[in-house]
Amino acid sequence: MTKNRRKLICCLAILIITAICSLFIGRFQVPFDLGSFSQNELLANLVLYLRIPRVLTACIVGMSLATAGLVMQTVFRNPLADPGVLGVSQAAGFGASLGILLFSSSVAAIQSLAFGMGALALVAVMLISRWIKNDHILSLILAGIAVSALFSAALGIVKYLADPINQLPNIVFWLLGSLSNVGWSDLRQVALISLPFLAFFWFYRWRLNIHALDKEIAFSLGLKNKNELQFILFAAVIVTSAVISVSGIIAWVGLIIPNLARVLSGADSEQTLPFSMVLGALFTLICDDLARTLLPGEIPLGILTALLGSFLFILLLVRKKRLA
Amino acid sequence: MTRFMDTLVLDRVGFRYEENSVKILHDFSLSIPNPSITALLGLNGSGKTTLLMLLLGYFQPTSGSIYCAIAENHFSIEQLNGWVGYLPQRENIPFDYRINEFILLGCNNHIGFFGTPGESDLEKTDAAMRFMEIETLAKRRLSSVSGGELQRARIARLLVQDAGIILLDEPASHLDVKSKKQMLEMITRLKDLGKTIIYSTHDPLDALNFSDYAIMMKKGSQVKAGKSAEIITSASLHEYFETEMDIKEVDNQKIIMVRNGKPQ
Repeated sequence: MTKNRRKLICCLAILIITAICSLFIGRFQVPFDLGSFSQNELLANLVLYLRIPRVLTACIVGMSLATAGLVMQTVFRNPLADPGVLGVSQAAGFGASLGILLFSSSVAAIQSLAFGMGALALVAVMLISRWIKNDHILSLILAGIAVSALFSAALGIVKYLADPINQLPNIVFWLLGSLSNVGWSDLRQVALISLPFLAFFWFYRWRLNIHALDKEIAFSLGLKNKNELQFILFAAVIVTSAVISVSGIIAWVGLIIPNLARVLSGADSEQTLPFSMVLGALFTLICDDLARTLLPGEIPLGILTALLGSFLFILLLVRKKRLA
Repeated sequence: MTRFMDTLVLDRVGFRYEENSVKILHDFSLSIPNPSITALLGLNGSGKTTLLMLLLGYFQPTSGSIYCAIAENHFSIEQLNGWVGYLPQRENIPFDYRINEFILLGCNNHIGFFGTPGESDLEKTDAAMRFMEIETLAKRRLSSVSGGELQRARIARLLVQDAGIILLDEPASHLDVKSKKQMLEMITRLKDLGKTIIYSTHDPLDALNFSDYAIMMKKGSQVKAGKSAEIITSASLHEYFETEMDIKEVDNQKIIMVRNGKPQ
């Protein structure tokens, strides 16, 4: 236990150092000299209004996706599940694209449509899974596949209808995920929705283990109410939707980070969840730093997370033949 | 640990999965005293697992009731949170827990939604591991232990759960001869701890040698229950297993012989 705690503190320290360093890097170099802030108003504004909210948002996005991924993997008892398993990603993508198509100038409309569609996907999955008279978990997965396919078809229609000069590039860019336009108001919006649920999962982290057991055993160990499972899925989906609505679709974080956390901390979710949170924030932050520094223009964040994530995934597979 | 003299009572229990489907149980009554070992016998598909699910409270009886009589009081299965423990034959565990973390999961009933295990839970886990003689495996991963060791870890989890009634679904079916014998002896040790054990098996010999009571089940809600030595006979085996068998005694030990074809 103490060994894990030491590792966690180490990761947390790296995260904090990375976050502070991230404020000074980017297209516009900020000198490491704090005195210059007071003299240079542009510099102060840049850090205060662009970089601080961006760094914090990256952390919250990473924490949320990794936590939601861990929850989905535990509930669906599959280390390869990700936060989009119930169709949220496709639905949010459809919502945002629809927003771009209909109200291309309004960020608020795009974000609320993305969030709303993500939530709608959850409702649809819950309803459909009730119609399927089958094992509850299996019917959720099947309904998730169906809803996901439905929204990706709808997304296809929107892309087809979109104006290829103005709207389509925006849609594509949004779907690849980016934090380039994030400001304090976006941060506040994500934080307000995400943080309470993340706090819930933090306190719930030990009991989360019980969901990984066979359902009859979980039942005999006190997991008797189906509403509990529904609430956990609801929380994970809402957190994911809230994040996606601001950042676009950030691939792989929710899948790879919980697996990485398991390698460091073991399978017990009391340990895995804090590790997932810290590593998720760190991974997303590093990817975002690369996204805004590697090339003269901004690289979509989702491309980098997928690129680095798949490399990490291969490393994990080679290191451990069976995913923990 | 407080121990009550409790009796598990099935009172005219009937069960069917859906409105017009075949009855699996019909007006079945039985009392199982504590401590004891009860074997559930029957062919595959005779309803053994369904009966275990009813006792667990996972299924509700269509008619009648199941309760636990402790002293003068009757408690339904739901009221006895965690009192009934259950193990299926095999368990699919998607993540590679360490043995001690895995056993500790048994304490979930005593912990609230937002709690984490405390010192006493850790002590209970250590005690359970000692009892099952797997304390040296505490830090090993589930994927690195043998089938028999995993079985012990799962029973240790039932001990941490403080289950008074333990339901085992075919605990010995897939084990090799050595592990099977150890498993059946373990069931006897659980009884010595004061537990009520109910396990299903399709091997009548297990029931004959390792149980106090037997419940024999057959499709179409035919159920027969009683003391193992009395109700497991050549005639009943023939009836419930649809196979001709003889019970013999060799060196003071009972054996069951399956007759091959017609005798000359």
